[in-house]
Amino acid sequence: MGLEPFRCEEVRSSLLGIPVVISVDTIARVIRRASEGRYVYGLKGKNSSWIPIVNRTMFHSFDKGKYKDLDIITKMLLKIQNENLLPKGSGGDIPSLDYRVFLHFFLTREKANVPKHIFKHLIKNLKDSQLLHKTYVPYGRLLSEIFHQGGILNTLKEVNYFTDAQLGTVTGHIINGATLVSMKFIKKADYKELSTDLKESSVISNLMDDFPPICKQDPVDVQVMFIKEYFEMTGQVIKISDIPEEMYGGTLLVVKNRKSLKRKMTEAEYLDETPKSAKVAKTSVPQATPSTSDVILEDSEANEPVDPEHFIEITSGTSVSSESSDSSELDESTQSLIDKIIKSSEIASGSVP
Amino acid sequence: MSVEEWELIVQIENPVDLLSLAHHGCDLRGIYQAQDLMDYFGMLNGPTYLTLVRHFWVRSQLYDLKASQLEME
Repeated sequence: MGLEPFRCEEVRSSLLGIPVVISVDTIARVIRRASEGRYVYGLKGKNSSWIPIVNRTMFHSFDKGKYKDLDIITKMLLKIQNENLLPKGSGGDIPSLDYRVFLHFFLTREKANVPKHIFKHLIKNLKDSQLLHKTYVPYGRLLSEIFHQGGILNTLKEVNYFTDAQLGTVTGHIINGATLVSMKFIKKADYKELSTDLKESSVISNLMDDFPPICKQDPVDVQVMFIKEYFEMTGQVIKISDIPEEMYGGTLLVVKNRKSLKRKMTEAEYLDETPKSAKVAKTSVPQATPSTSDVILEDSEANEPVDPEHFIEITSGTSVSSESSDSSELDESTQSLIDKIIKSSEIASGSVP
Repeated sequence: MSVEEWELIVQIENPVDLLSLAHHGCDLRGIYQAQDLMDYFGMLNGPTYLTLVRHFWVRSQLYDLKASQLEME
């Protein structure tokens, strides 16, 4: 028998034959926080010494108060605790003593052993589920992250069997300023959406490799076309709501136009480009002078405005060279012309004093 | 009789926008920083795979000292 030695308390299960083991350390690793700090759980009785301590922190009095006596910060902390850290499926506003002690640690900023609290809470709910047949499952997101970090999603991706629809992928609702409005802590008029506001993460996960390159920034008809094509290709339907806000891996690719490219060019890059314009000059030189000046004009337009003085100088230069009939001399004069063009553009751009 | 997969109600954690809360007069950042939980809140805003969670839950077994001793016997 391959019995594994007992190391620590663990929850063991399997997903499609892949073993999944969750312990306090697993949770600590996933939430990237060491399993350290105070741990108090399983308090019972009405005579616990914790009661006056907790009452003082929560209600600023010796006696246990009511929910309405709490301040905004405490109410919000309690809400986040009931929904996230130690989720409660049901029950009143004021939790049991264990939960209140946990809240007490937060309010007094004394470090609590959060991973251990989460793990014990998970076990308690698991026992309730197995012994009392309760249907409540906490920590949906945390468990999913454990599966993800444990490489299970990668395995599923490799067999390429599951889609998000089959995995039942969902996300939670965000607690933000709007929650304060609905909890009646602030007025609706005082609530303002911020540019930094958290957006719900894209429901489409990284399971779809060939997800078309679209995002909400694209025009709607472009999105629709992509979805249509994707459906024809793969037979899978993508909902408009599944399209991510931003393109995976950063901003949209914008093709730089010629102008901006020219502006950012360095001298070396520019010199690299000159032979191309020289070629044009070469072919056009023997024909007539106006065409050469056209080339110069084009070139100067593309770069920086050239002073009329330089322009005249160059045209006069070419008119001299066109007088000679020898082809080798012509080549030489073309070369000098090119040099002059370079020089003039350099002067115009101010790189040569 | 144990609980069936389809009967389970999975609670999904709600991501918390601490910045928005702080802007509206409810600044919890100091409290969660003291607990070293900022990474936790970053993790919350992500997908939950309901099918996998349900699948995992019904097959889960608690393995503690008591269970390991039983196994040894």
